[in-house]
Amino acid sequence: MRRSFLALLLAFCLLAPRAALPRGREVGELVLLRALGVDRHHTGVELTASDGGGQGGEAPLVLRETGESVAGTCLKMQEGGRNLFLGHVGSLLLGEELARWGAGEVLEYVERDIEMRLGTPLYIIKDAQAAEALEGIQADTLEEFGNRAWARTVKELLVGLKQNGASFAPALRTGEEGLSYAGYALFRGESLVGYAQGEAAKGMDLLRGRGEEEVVELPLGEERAALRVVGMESAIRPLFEGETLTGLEIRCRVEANVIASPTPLTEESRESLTALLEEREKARIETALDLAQELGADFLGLGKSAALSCPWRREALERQWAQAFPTLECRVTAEGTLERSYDIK
Amino acid sequence: MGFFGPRQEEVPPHPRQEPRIDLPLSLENVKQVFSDCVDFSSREVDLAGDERKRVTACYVGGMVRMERAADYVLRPIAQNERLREAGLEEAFRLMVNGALYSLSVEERTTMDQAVKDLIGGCLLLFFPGKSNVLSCSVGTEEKRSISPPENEPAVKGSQDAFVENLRTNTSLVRRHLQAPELKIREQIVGRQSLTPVDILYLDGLTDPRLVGQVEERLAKIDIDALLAAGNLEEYLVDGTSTAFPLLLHSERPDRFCQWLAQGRVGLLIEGLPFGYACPGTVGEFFRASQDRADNWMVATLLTVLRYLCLFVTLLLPGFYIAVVNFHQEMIPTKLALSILAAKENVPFTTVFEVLLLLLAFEILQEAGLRLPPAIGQSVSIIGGLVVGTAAVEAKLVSPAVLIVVAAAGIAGYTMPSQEFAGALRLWRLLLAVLGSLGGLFGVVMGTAVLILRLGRLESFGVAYLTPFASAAGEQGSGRTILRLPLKKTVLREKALRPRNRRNQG
Repeated sequence: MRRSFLALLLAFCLLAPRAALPRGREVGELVLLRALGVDRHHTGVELTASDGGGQGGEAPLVLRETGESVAGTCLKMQEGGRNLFLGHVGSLLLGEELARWGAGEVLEYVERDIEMRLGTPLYIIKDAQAAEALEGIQADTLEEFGNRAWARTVKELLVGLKQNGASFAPALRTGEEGLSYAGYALFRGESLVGYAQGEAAKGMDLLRGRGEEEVVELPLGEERAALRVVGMESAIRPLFEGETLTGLEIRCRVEANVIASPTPLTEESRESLTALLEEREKARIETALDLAQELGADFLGLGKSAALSCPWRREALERQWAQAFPTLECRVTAEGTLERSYDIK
Repeated sequence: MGFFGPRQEEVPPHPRQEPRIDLPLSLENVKQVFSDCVDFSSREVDLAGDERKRVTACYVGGMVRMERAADYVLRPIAQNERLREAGLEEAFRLMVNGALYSLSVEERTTMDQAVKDLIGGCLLLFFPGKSNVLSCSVGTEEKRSISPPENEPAVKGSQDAFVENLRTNTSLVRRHLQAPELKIREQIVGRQSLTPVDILYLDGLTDPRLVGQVEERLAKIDIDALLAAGNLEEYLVDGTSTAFPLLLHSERPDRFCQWLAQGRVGLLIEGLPFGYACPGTVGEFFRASQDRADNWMVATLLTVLRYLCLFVTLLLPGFYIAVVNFHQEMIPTKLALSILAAKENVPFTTVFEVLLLLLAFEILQEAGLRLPPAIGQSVSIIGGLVVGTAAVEAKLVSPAVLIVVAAAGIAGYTMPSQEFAGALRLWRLLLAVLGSLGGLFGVVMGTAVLILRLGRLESFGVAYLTPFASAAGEQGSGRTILRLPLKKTVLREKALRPRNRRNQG
């Protein structure tokens, strides 16, 4: 009797918690999605998911579905026995139309879904649909973008929106040679309001203190010298008159290596190159600041950075920032350092 | 009728008969005891050729050395003139006092003593009309010679190993530990085997309560025969509800002596070519005999590796199942794609694959062990390489699973104690099943149960997880995992309660 009872108890103990345990999914039956594109559709949204083509360079499996909401469309996509797994989505692409309309729902879906990751790099497809961008592209190519200095994750965008009410994400443009970098897409609220391209985008990199290594060609006499920009750093300080915020002081330090010079460098030519570099970088920063002020949105969190540098003025700064920023006077200084100039006489 | 079939019948009482042979000591009764024993022999001998004084010599063939019996006993009896002149009673006294050349001549008065001596290789001398007999030690010393240790080889260490002969083993210990404080007590275990078991310890160093505990447990063992290691281990340890070994054992006398010098109690058993030491604590099972011979940094690295391998062998299959079936997001994308590609066209689930391969691994290991070494190696090669590769190529199992199971198996071989590794194998299987039921939750719960179980284990009153879980109130020292320079390990482990904690000046 005792043994029978123990056997039944054991069976119960083994089987009862099974119902409460998590349900496993065989990895072989999963479709690992590596890129997800979201576009605006007349019904709501259009989702494009790609498995990225696996490791062998095969043509990627691209799935499309439309629906009223992102979550509902994702569920719809699973119909037909497909076991889609979003835990390995390494790139999230938003079409420009959707981004202008509002990316809030997509960002919230990434925030709440148990499989999606906040660390997923986010791109805005300039002048095109995300579906177009995902057509035929290998996931590895897309994921390489995630290692670039201009890459931004969903989390970074969300944090920027929450803290500053504005943020930015890299923009990609489609072309014959595939996708390419097209500056930054600027968000105010949850909607795309414009792009920072060319010099403005470079200026944003300088203000962030994070940019791609760049080779700059500058005139040296009648010829040109080449510098490689290898480091940048910016410090932002608010300027007050009494309790009134009157301006921003932005100091940027740029380090560059001389990689090519037509003639051996002299102290004078070195100073001349440094001055040209400083002038160029200062102009870039001013372009980026002008754009931000024009759009009336602090994409880069300059207000937060300024408050951090003067914590005792934080309250006053935060109180005046939103109203003052579009017309705030910005004093920009750039300080260049040329390193590895071994052949200076 | 119970749930598992017919109820077991009641176990009848098993009283021990004392004395074992309830007969008066006489030649007739000895012959009666050894009736139908072809190896029993007796011979009548006249004292110095005097037919009126005739004694009977009894012995068991094969147990005595004939030359010794002839030279030490029979020759003096036949040729000693003093025995001719003495009466039987006086001759008996003369023989006890040195007329015989045998190293040991004892007077026996009971059948039990006399029979035990006969079997132990003594020659018994019966005198007409006397109820006492003389027992002369002329036993043979045939035994396997001392050879290098096979299972615990050492590059920088003594090349002697215990043999099956108990007295040879105690002599090996005495040669390593020449201190007169080395005490050797003996108990007989097994009603039929009457196996001598020696208890060794260092007086003034080992905790006397530990010695008493070992003696008490040994005395309680009432089995038919002590012929295998399990006959002793299972009766001696605190509980049998664990697969983890609770006694240390080694075939190396130097290692055995090291344990004695730490304050442990040693056990040597007639017929078993290794020695036990108790208590067994988990840290000791991770130390190899070579560790003390190696440079301390190298030994530390190897010990840390062994601990890492413990986690690999125990958790890897369960972790793999859990991650692949429940937590795919934990796998790096490239690895997930590799696993996915490897799993393509494999008809079985990951759980089935892992469990199947784990069982196959155990079967291969068992097959390799039971065969002669040369054939065993072939089986391992055929099993591991040919069948493994063929199974992968035939898409019966995925290469990733094969790598996981092989890595777990090989990591298990780094354990210096294969008994400990055996217990880990059992838990590895269990954790794999739990991993398949509840993912990482199952693995973590299983690991927690394992730690709790180990935490409850004791070996002779010492916590098994010493010094991880219990350092007897002492701050845990680095020597648990690190093999510190010997100069810095001045104190013996407190948990062993040695009477003298300093081990060097």
